[in-house]
Amino acid sequence: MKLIRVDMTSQQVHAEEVPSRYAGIGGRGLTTEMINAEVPPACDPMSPENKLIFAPGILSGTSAVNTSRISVGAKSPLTGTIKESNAGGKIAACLGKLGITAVAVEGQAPEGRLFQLVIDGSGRASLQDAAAYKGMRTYALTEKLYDVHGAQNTLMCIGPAGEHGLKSASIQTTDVDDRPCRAAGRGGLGAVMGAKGLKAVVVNTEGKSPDAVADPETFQKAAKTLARAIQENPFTGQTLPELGTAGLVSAVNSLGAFPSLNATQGVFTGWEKISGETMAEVIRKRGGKNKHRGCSQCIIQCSNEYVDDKGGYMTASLEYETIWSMGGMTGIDDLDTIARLDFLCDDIGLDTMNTGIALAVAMDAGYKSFGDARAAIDMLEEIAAGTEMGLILGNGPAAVGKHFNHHRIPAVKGQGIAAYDPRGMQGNGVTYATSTMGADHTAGNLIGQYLGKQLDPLSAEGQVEASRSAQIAMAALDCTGLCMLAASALNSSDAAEAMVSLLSAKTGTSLGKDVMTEMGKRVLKTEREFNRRAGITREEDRLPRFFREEPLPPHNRVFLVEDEDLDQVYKF
Amino acid sequence: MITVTVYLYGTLPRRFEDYDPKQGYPVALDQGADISDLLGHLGFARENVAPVINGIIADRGRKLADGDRVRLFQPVQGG
Repeated sequence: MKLIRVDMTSQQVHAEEVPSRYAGIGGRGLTTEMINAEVPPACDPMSPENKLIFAPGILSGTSAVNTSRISVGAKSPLTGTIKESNAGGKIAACLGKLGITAVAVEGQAPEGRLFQLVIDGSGRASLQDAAAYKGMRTYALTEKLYDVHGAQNTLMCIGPAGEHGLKSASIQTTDVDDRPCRAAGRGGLGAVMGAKGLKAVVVNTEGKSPDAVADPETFQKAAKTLARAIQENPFTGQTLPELGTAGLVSAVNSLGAFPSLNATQGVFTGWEKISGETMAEVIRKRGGKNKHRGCSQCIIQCSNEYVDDKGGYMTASLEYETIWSMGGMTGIDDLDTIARLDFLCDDIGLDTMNTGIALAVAMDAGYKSFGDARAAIDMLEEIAAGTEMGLILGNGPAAVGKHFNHHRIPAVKGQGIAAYDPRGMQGNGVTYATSTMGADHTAGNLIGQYLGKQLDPLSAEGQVEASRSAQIAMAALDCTGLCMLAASALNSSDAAEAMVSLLSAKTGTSLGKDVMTEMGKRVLKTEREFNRRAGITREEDRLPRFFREEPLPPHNRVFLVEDEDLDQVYKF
Repeated sequence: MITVTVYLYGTLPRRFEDYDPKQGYPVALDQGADISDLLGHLGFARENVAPVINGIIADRGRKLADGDRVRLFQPVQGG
């Protein structure tokens, strides 16, 4: 129950007991509460007034499987809203095992100074000079930091994009193989970390002082039920281990909702070359790794290690959203190129989604041609180098669209959409429009309901209600530390009850069956309140006009949900 | 008789040794057959699979026509 506050202005670090107003919450719930309480909503996100909060989930660091998700929160320079960006890897579990509930990075280092925050095996934190690492890319930085601090650590860090203060800058974190290939990608929080003068966070992996579980017996029983449900669920037990999230390429193209060539087509002509089935076969033939564990305590193993035709490492893990943004959106139907672009984004410290869309907008505007792999790689290198064009590209699709005076910008509140077109999956459009975070599929994705035929993806009917429920569920899930893919298994009543038992047993509170819904609603209301005070109005809860005006082949639908219906999402 | 071509995704292809993802899997059915008949023929009658025809998720009662291409998916959630 320890909160570490890091004042970058004075370089003072101190640990305090978690104040009672933040007790019992974690992950997104905690980052949201802290930002709403401590950050002036109208502040410049790049100023010392903003705070960058790292918070593992309530269950992170316990024996429950798949609970190593960390929430990174701040006011976003990309969206101007409150932001929670969520990442896997090891760091959430490691912070939990050190009994650290959150790390709050405040103030701003003196101009030109750069630091690393080092948390040792007893949970003591200190700021150390990091001037020698200025400008380093994340893979080289990671190697250096492991040399200096030892293998018994995990890292979060920024690359050149974060140091340049770019709005698509990510915060990278190391996976179980100690590669910086997991990302808190969304919302430009790498730029906030860069503005604070913090290059890296180094956390010891051997902590043995987790907060006590109030009822260990009940906890263990519920943890076993959860693990069994994850293993028995066909999606988490079979499809994800075999194909990873890339398995969605086939499904979403087959439904005509894969935004391609900057969201002008719903089926990408070359999708079978970049599908999950093809990717898994390429990896298998080349001797790479399918069914690979990327995060601590993961029993799904949806990660992969993509290798070149000589078996050399190219990237980990190649995921659905990146295959879409760097493939479908840019017209590149070559997995090796997509893997290279994925690696470069991780190395430079960029959100693959926002960056891929930025490239696609530039191509659509005529700056380069769709499908030009060399141009895509060169554009990423421009971002890393900080050239004039690189700075525009690195600030995301809205900046690129503005530069070229191009109207087709698939973004909401500045943040690029995800790999589900709102015209082919109308409810995902409702989520993009109304999420407190800007366009974000992890805020409430309805693909499972569409494929299960519980909801018609092409009609306006029922989408607002479905998106509302999904957004509430996801807001709650993001508090727990449980991976959203593992959470697919919570659709069985046994697993859902086990989840409530885990939270009750961990916190020592008797929680009702509606605890997740109540938690989700509370988080969303707090985020809306922050955004309202930051000057965000309902006029910004809208999709770009082209989604209503340009029909998407093959179904030739536009986005149909009325504005007044979008305004009903938060009526709860 | 009618012939439809089935395309399989996820882990479904491995149930058919001779499945070729480029060619699909041809299935001969009686005139008037529907999706349920097809799933029964393939051994998927009791499984949660999603049939997609021309970009639309099909009901199990949908009648099939000669030359139809049916894509079969396992349940997924977002990624």
